[in-house]
Parts: sequence; C-alpha cells; structure tokens
Amino acid sequence: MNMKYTPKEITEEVNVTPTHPLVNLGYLAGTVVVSLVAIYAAMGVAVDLVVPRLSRSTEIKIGDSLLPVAQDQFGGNVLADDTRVDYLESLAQPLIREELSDLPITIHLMDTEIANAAIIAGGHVFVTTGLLEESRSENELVFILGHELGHLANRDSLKSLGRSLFLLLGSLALGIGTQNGQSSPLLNTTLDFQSLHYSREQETQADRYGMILTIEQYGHGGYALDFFERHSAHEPSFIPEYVLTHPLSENRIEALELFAAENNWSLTGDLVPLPEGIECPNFDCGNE
Amino acid sequence: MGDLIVVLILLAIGYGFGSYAERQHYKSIREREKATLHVPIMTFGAKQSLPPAKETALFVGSVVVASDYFKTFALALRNLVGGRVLSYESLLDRGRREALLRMKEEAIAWGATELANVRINTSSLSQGGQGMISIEVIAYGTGIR
Repeated sequence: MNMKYTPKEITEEVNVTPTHPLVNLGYLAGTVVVSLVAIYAAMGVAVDLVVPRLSRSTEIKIGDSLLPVAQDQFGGNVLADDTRVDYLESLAQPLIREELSDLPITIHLMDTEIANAAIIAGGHVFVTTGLLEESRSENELVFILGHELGHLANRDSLKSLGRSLFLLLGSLALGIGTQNGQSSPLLNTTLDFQSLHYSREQETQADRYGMILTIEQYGHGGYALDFFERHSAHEPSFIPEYVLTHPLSENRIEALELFAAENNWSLTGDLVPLPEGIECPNFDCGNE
Repeated sequence: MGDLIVVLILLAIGYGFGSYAERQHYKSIREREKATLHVPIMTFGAKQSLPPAKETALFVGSVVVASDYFKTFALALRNLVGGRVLSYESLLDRGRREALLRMKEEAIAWGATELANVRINTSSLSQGGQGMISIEVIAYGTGIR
C-alpha cells in the first residue's frame, strides 16, 4: 500500500458549532422560561374553568384525600363522638339548600381553643370548640355555618387550591399519595390552612349566602353578626384565628347590613339561646 | 432570591474560568497539532496488513476534562427541551484532540513515522448521572517505525 501523505493543517472546526455559548444559553433559557410562565399562567386560568366542571364524586374524593391533612393542620383532636356534633349537624341540616343537596355535609368538631371554622372540598365543615365557647347565640352559629356552606356552594375551597388542584387531580388519577387516613407530604404541600385565603369577592358571596340562610331560618338577621362585631371591636389587640382566615373588617359588616337593607330584611329579632353546656364535652359540664 | 444570586455567581464563575481554560486549551491544541502534523494517524490496520515496519508499539493517550457550572447548567436546561448541547460539543472536541495529541506526542518521541489502527473511546465520570460531569477520552493506536 503506497499512498503519499500530505500534512494538512486543520483549520475548520466541524465538530464545534460556531455559536457563542452565551447566545445559545440565552435563547435556551428564554425558551424554557417563557414556556414555564405560559404553562403556569394557563394553569391559573384553567383552575377557574375546571372547578365548576368537576363532578361531585371527584370533589368528594379530593375532600376525602385532604381530610387527614386538614385535621392535622387544624391541631387538636377530632371529637367524633361528642353529642355537640349531633347538635351542630341538626343546626346545619335545615341550612342545606338544593345546590348542596347531593353533597354529604360532615361536621368535624376540633378540640382547640382557637375560635375557628373552615371548610375543605367535599362537604367537610370544621368547627372548633373554641368557637362554641365564644358563641353567645344560635343565631351567630347559624350565620357562621351558613357562611361556610356558602364557601362550599361556591367551591371556594377547590378554587383556593389553585394550581395544586392539578397536582391533586393527577395524583388521584394515578392513585399516589392519596391513601385514606394517611397524610402524605404531597398533600401537605397542596393544602395549607395557615395561608388559606379567599378573595374579597369570595368572602362577600359567602357572607351573603350566610345571611340569606339566616333570614330563611329565623326570618330576621338579629344577633347573627354579633360574633364578628365582638371580634372586630377587639381588634387590633386580639386578632382571633377566625378573623385571620376570614379577614373581617367593619366594611364587611356594613356591606352585610346594606345587603339586608336592600332586601328589606330586619336585622333585629329574637335571640335563640344556645343549649346549656355548649362549652363542655357532650354538653356535660359536671356541675350538677 | 438568594438561591438565584448563588446560581448567577456560580454561572459567572463557571463561564469565566471555563471559557478562559477552553481558549487556552484550544490555543495549545492548535499549536501542538501543527507541530505533530508530519506524522499521519489512520484508522486502518485492523485485520489488514500494516505498512512495512521494523518495529511497532502500542501508544495510549488519555485525558480527563471537567465540565464547568455554566456547561452543566446549559446541559440541564437543554435536557428539558432536547437538541444539540453546544457547550459540550467543544468539551468533547477538546477531549478527543487532546487524547490524540498525547498519544501522538509519545509516539513521536519514540520515533514513530506513522500511527495505524487508531481508536478513540469516551466515557463520562459522573456520579450516577447526576450533577457535574467530567469526561474521559482515551485514544490508542499502533506506532510504526
């Protein structure tokens, strides 16, 4: 084999693309960032479109999977066998209107001093013993329950999950991290009561819903707003948790009074007293 | 925000030092390629008769080149969307040419007039495919004199 070898200097760089690495990274990062922002924005918009279309059974599944996490985050034990739960259920039952008739409403009484009430999707209503202790009349309780039912009717809890909703729906579809009775880290990240915040519009809607139910129940709105008035009077020295998750200002009380006036609803009427021993387990304060 | 600043600093360090090292390396590669140009290297020789020779010997050149933060970052981003990884093209190009040069320089010192049956292998020294990547390139061939 005889070939003549002529040395030739390598001058062309065929193996290296002649694009400046910074320019390349710039385009790359731009593409990725723009796509992520677009997906994130699309998911935010999609929540409001998807939530009204979810079936009741999906909502119940989501609620059941979130329940253990929600109970953990609330703190305190669940008083499942307390007769006060039966009382609260009997209070709530007449308040359930047609739009919620296919949703089983479950009341969870939480043993904690912090006065609070909240809901999660799937008809789970949380009431704390602290709220019962601080209540002065049934009228107050009915309005608070009505307000929470308003959030349920408007699916505010599902909406407040925001983009996590898609994570939840995905994990439900795949059956991961949603085993009953176990609070998984995945779900812990999707639900955060501490930072739970409904929009002003959502609160207004829930307030009105609560007011309508109260009027239907008693024929008047008397004493219904007392709980809030007491607490707004306490501000700012004492800000109860209830006000934190449901920021309630003088404005909201005024808005409700205006709403009642527009509909010619009376805000005065008879007080319906709470049953004896509402602050004690099973209504039994042991002072016989 | 703090994390972002750390990433930006690491990117600047990676890019600054990485591109400086790359420029220096290419400069050295080009000079040495020019200096060793008179000795041909070829891939034939396996299952073929070698050119007439008095003596033959195996020569191995191997090099390990580390990626830098900038290149790794660009790779991670590129992994999301797919496509050519430009920053690694130059890294692997440098690795191959450096390994060939080391093999060739050793052979020339031995007195080789040509190198036959030259092969190049690449492997990545990564921790389970995660994090920073270094590459190893090995070139070997049969020196003839």
